[in-house]
Amino acid sequence: MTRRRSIAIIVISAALLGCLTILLLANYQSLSLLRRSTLDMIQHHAEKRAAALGYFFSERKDDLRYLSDNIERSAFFENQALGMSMEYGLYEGILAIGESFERILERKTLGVHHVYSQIIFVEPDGHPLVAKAVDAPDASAIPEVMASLNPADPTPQILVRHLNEAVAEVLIALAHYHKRTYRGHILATVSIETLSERLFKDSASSAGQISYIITDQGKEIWHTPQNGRSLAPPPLPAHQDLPVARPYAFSHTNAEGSVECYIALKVSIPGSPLSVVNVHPEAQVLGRTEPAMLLVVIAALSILLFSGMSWMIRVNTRNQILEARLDEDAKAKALVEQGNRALARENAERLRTEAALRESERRYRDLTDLLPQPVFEINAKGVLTFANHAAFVAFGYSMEDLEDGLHALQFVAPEDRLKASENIRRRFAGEELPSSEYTGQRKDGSRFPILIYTSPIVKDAKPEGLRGIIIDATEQKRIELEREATIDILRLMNSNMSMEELAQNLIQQLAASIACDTVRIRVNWENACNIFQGRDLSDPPAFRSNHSCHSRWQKSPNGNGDNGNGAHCLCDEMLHRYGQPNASNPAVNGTLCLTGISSMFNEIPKDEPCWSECPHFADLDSYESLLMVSLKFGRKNLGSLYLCDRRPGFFTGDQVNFVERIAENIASALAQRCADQERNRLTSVVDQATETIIITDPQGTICYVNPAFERVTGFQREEVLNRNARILKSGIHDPRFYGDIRKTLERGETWSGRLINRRKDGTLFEEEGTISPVRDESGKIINFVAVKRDVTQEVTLEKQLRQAQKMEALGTLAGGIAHDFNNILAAILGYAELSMGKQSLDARLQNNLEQVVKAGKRARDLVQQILAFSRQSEQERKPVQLGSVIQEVLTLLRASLPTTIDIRFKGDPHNGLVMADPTQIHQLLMNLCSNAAYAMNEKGGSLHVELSTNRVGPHGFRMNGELSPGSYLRLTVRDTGHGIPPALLDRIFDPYFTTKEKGTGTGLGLAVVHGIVKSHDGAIAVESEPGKGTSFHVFLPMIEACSSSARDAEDVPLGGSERILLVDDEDTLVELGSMMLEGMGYKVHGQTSSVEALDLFKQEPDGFDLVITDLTMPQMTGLELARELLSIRPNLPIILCTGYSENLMPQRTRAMGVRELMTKPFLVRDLARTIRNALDGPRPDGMSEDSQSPGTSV
Amino acid sequence: MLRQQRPLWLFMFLFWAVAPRPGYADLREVLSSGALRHLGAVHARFVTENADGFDVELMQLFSKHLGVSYLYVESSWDRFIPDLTGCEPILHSEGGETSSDAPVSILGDVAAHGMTVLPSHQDRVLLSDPVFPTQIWIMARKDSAIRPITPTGNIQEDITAVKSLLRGRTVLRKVYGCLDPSLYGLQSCDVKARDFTGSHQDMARAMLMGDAEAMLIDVPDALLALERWPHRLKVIGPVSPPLVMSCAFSRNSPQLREAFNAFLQECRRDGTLYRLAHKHFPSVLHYFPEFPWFPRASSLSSHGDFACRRPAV
Repeated sequence: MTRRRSIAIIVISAALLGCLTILLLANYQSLSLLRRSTLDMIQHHAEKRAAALGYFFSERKDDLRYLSDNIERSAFFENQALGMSMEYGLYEGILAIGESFERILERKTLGVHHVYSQIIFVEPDGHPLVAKAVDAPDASAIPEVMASLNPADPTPQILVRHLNEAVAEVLIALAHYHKRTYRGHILATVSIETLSERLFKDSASSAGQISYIITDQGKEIWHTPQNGRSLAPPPLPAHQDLPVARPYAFSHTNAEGSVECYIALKVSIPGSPLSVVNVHPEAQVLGRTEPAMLLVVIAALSILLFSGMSWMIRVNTRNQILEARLDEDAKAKALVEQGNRALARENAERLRTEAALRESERRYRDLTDLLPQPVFEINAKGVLTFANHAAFVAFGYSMEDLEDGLHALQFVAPEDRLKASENIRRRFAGEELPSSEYTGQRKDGSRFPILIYTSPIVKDAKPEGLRGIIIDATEQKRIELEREATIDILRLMNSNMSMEELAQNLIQQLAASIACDTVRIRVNWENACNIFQGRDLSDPPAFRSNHSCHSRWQKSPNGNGDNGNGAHCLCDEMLHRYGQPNASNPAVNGTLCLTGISSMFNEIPKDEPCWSECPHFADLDSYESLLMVSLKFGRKNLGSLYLCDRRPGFFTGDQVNFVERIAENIASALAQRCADQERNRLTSVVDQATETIIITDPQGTICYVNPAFERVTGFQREEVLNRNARILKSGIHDPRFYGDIRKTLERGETWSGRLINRRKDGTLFEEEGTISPVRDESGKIINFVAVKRDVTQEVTLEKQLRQAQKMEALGTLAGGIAHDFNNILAAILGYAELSMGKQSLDARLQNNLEQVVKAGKRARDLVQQILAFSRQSEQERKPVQLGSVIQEVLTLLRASLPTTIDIRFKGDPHNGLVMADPTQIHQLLMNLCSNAAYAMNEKGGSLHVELSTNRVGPHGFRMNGELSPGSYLRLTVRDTGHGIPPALLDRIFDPYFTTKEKGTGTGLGLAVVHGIVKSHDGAIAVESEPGKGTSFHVFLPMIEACSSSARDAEDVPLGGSERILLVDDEDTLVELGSMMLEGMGYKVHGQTSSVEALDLFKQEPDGFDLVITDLTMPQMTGLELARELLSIRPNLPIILCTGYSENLMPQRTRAMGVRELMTKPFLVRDLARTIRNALDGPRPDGMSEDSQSPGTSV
Repeated sequence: MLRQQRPLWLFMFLFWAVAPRPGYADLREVLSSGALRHLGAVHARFVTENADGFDVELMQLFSKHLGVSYLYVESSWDRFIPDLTGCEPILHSEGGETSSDAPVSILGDVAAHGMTVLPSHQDRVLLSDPVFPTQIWIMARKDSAIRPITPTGNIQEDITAVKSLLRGRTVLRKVYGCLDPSLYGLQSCDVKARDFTGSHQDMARAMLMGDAEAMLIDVPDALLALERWPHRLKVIGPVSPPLVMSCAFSRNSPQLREAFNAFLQECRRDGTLYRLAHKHFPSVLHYFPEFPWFPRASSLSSHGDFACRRPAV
C-alpha cells in the first residue's frame, strides 16, 4: 500500500513538473514566435507596399506603351513621311494623338485624383508636339528631363524630378519609334503625393509606423504625414547602413531627451529606382519583457518540487520491502497444495483410459464383423491374429481354425502363394503397394478372384504385422468381360462392313463371349429375311442365305417368300407365326415376336407339338438349351438372336441379361444403319434431281439447296446457306405477289406457279414450281421446301412464237393493202408514162410528169420493202446482193428516222453475193440499224453502214463464233450514240436482255440478229466505247458470183406487132395497158372479164400471140384462166400480173406453163421487156431458175 | 454656259416665280403647322445614316428655337432640291439644268446636309448664311506616285501646284455637284476624269479598289476618309479656295431663311456653332480658324472670304 502511494506521488509530481515545464516552454516559444512573426509582418507589409508601387509603375509603363501604339495608329508620322502637310490633312494625326492623351488623363484615376497631371509628346529637338494636362500644360520640365532621356532605350523609364527640397514628382518616359526611327518621347507626369497618400492611407501612423519613399541615392522624396503627432519623425539611418528586406534596429534621442528604439525595414520598388522604408517603434511592436526571465523562475520552482518528492519516496520504499517478504512465504505454501491436487487428477485419468481402451476393442470387433468384406490381421510371421466374421464365411474357416493357427497363404491358391509371400515381405519392408489380385482358395478348395488391400501395423516405428481387407472380384470380372464384349460388338456395328460380314463377325463375337455352340442371327434387311448362322465354334460361321424361310412365307398370309427348299428352321417358325398370334409357338405364345420379351429354354421340351413342327432345328442339331432375344428398336422388330447349346441348362440369368443388352446395342446400330441407308437414298435422289430444291426455315433462311440449284442460279451452296431466300428476288414482281406466296404458306397450303428470279450474274430466269410447308410431329411448320424447274427457255420460245404470229399477221395485212395499192400505183405510173411520151407536151408539164413517175417509183419500192420485211415465208436461201438489201433498208429507215441522224453507206452495193434468206438479212439489218438509231435518239449523230470483203486464213478465225477459212462479206453498222458499258457487252445477245425503258424494247432484237448470223454460218462481233458509239461487225460467207443471165435491157427490142389479149377486171388498167401496148406497136384486145376472155380465146385459139392476165379476178382467177388457155393451146405465152399475192409461187406457175410473172405497178420499159421475154424466150419447161426475167425480179 | 442660257433661265424663273405651287412653307406656315421638316441626305457627319450629325442637331435647335417640333425627312443628293422646291430639274447634255413644268410634292422646309454653296444652287434656292467651311482637296491612294504639295501659304499657288501634279492622272469625280472638276478648271489640266455614280462616302472606297488614282473630295469627307482608312490615303492639296456650306430654303420661304439666319447668328454668339463643329469635326476648327465661328463685324459671302492657315497645335 505504501509502495503504491509512493508510486502515485512520484507519478503525480512528475506529471505536474512536466506540465509546468511544457507550459513554460510553450510560453517561451510563443513569445519568440510572436516576435518573429511581428518582424515578418512588418517586412511583409513593407514588401506589399513596394509591390503595390511596383505594380502601379508597371501599369503606368503599359499606359505609355498604349499611347505609343495609338500614336502609330494615328498615322501621323506615316502621313508626315508621305509628305502631307498640317494645312492639308496631317493635323488629323495630331488630333488623334491628343485624343488618346486626353483619354488616358481622364480615365486613369486614383479615387478622385488623376494619376497623371500631364502627358506630353516631345520631339527629338525638345519641341512639344502634343501636350495635354489636367490643368494647364507645363513644358518647363522638358529641358531638364531631356538630358536624362535615352532615345536608344525602348523600355519605359522612371525619372524623379525634385521640384524643391520637400517636393518631388515622378516622370515616366517612353521613346517612340516610327519604322525604327526615333521620333520623340512620351512624358507622363505622376503626382507622388497623390499616389503615396492613396497607397499608404490605411497604414499611416496605425502603430506608430512611419513610411518613407526614397530614391536609390537615399534621398527621401516622401514620408507619411505626421497627423496628430507632436514629435517630428526620426531621421532615417544612413542609406548605406540600411539593409534591403531585413529589419534594422536603431535608436534616436527625441526632442524631449528620451531615447526611443526603432526598427526599420527597406524594400526596393520593382521596376523603379525607388524604395519603401517602414520605421516602427520597437516597444510598440515587440513588447517590454524578455522570454528568458520566465525560464529562470520556472527552474527554481522545479528544484523545490523535486526535493519534497524525493523525501516522500524514501519513506515509502522501506515499507515496500517488508510487505514483499510476507508475500513470498504465502506463495510457497500454495505451491505444495497445488502439487497434491494434480497427482490425484492424474490417477483418475489413467483408470478412465483403460476402460475406454477395452470398450474400443470391443467396438472394433463388432464393426469389423458387420463388414461384408473379409478383414484380417497377421503378425510378422504371416499368421492370422484377427479375422472378422465375413472372412470366416468367405473362406469357410472357423474361429477354432484361427485359434489353432492359420497362415495367411492358406487363403490364396497355391500358384499365387509365391507372389503373395513376396508382397507380404515388401509390405513389411515398408513399400507402398496397390491392391493385389489373387485367386482365392476356400477351405473346401474352391476358388474365386480376390483383391487384397493391406496396411502395416506399426508399433514403436516398427511394423509388427499387416492389417487388410479382401474384396470378392467375381462380379467385377464379369462386368469387365461384358464391357469388352459390348465394345467389340459396337465397334463392329459401326464399321462399314457389309451385312454378311457384319453378321459373321457378330456371330463370332457372341459365340466367344457366351461360349455356346451355335449363334444365329435373323435380320430383316432390304425387304428380305436373312439368316446368319454359326454352326460350330470351331468352324467359321456359315451363311445360309434365306435358308428354308421362304417356303413358309410363300404360304404365309403375308405373301412374302420365295421358292425355298421347304426345310424348316426356328426362324421360319417365328415368321410364320408372326401373323398368327394365336398359333402355338415355341417362344411362349409368340412373346418373342409380338412383345420382344426374351425366351430361354434350358431343356427344350421336344415332345411338345410345337417343337415337332420344327424338326430341322431340334432333330438335326440336337440342341438342349435355347435363348431367343429380339432385336427391337422402339416398336420396330429388326430381327432376332438365337443362341443354342447342346448342354442342357447352359444359359444363366446373367447371360440372358448380357445377351439382351448386346441385342439392344445391335438393334440400335441396325436402326441407325437403316436410317443412314434411307437418308443416303433420299440424298442421292435430291442431289441428282434436275429440279432445283431449296429448303428454308420459316423465316426464309436457306438451310439446303441441291446441286441443280447451283447449276441454275450460279450460286454455290456455301454462298446461300444461312442467307435469306430473297437474294434471288428479281424485283420484277411487286410486293403483293410475294405477300400472296407468304400468306399461302402461312396457311399451311402449297403454293404453285411461276416466278422470275435473278441469277448470281444478275440475269433473270423464270421458274415454275411449288413451295410447300414442312411440319414436325406436333404439326408446327419448321421448314419450307421449294421444288422448281427453270422454264426460261420455254418462255423465250413462247414469246418468239407470239412475235412470229404477230409478224405473220402484219404480213397478211401488208399483202392485202399492197394488192390494191399496187393497182392504184399501176394506173398512176402508167398514165404518167404514157403522157410523158406525148410530143405536144411543154417542158414544164414534162417535168411534172417525170416527178409523178419518180414519186410513183418510190411508192412502189416502199410497198415492196414493206412486203419484204413482213414476209413470213419459209426460209428460202438464194444468192443475195447484200448491198441492194442495205440500200432498201436504209431507204426504209430514212423515212422513219429523225433528220438529226445522218445515214451514210460506204461500199460497193454490187460487191459480193451471200447465200441467204433475203427476208432474214432484211430483218438483221433493220434490227441493227434500229438499235443504232435508238442510241442516237436524244442527241442525234451518224449511222454508218459499211460493206467490205474479208478473207479468213486456212486456220480459221475465232470470234463470236468460229469462222471457217474463206471469203466473207463484212457488214459494219456503226453509230455515234451513247455506247454500251463494258459490263453489259457479254449479255447483249441474250434473249430479253434490254437496256431500253420498259415497253420500248423486247430484248429480242440482237438475239434474233445473233440467231440469223449463226444460221448463215457467219459471226458477229461488237465494239463499243461508252459515250462514243458502238460498231457491230457481221461476217457472212461469200459465194462466187453467178453467171448472170440478166440480159441487158437495152439489148431487148421494146416493141412488136404481135396480137395480145389483155385481161384485167379493172377497166382503168385494161385501158391503160391497151394504150401502152398499142404504143409499142402491138395489137391489143382488152377484156375485163376472164370468162369472156376465155370464150373469146376458144372461138379463135390462134388469134392471139400472147395473153396478159391479172391474177386476182372475180369468177375466174388468172391462174385458172391460164390453165384453161394452156389446155387449149399449150404453147401459148402467158404473162401473169399481180398486185400482190403471197400464194403466187414462181416455180409452180412456171411449171404450169406461165411464161412470165409481173408485179404491179410496172413501168412501160419493164412491160416491154417482159413481153419480149415471153414471146422470144424459151418455153417454160426449159426455163431455169437463173433465167428470171426482169418482171419476176421485182 | 449659264450666260448663254440666260434668256431661258430668266423665262423659267419668271414662270416658276408666278406659278402657284402647293406645299410652300414659309415661316408662317411652319409655325402654324407646328413642325419643321428637315430634308437631309447622308453626308459625312452632317447627316449620318442614323439621322444624327451636325446639321440634324442644328435643325433640332432651330425647331426648338421656333417652338415647333422637328421632323427629319430623308432625301438624297439628287432629289433634295425638287423635294424642297417642288420643281423637277431637267438635266441638259451641256451640263445645265432647267426646271420642268410638272409639279412634284414638296417634302421639306429646309435642306441641310453639308451642302457646298455652288452657283447653280443660288439660282434655284435661297441659301442661308455660311454654316460650315469647306474646301475641295485632291486625295490619292497611299501608293500613288503623286506626292502631296508643300504649302506655300498662298492658296492660289497651292492650287496651281496641285493641278500641275494631276496632269495625265485618273481622277474620280461626281458631276452635278461640288466634286465636278469643271468647277475648278481641272478640265484644262489634261486630267482623266472618271465618273463615280455612287454616294459621297463610297468614293474613297472606290478609289482604294482601283477605280482611279486620285479623287476630288470635300474637306469633311476627306477628314472622315483619313479617319476611316488610316495608312491608306494621302491628301495631295487643294483645288479650290475655301468654300462654305449653307442651308437651302425654298425661294418662297424668305422669312424662314431670315429666321434661320437670325438663329445662326445667335448660335455664333453663344458658342453653339463652335461647340457643334468641335463635336462633329474637331479638326476643322484648326483647318479653318478664320471661319466666323463667332460673331464678326462683317458677314461672309457665300463663296467665303477667309483664308486658310496652318492650324495651331
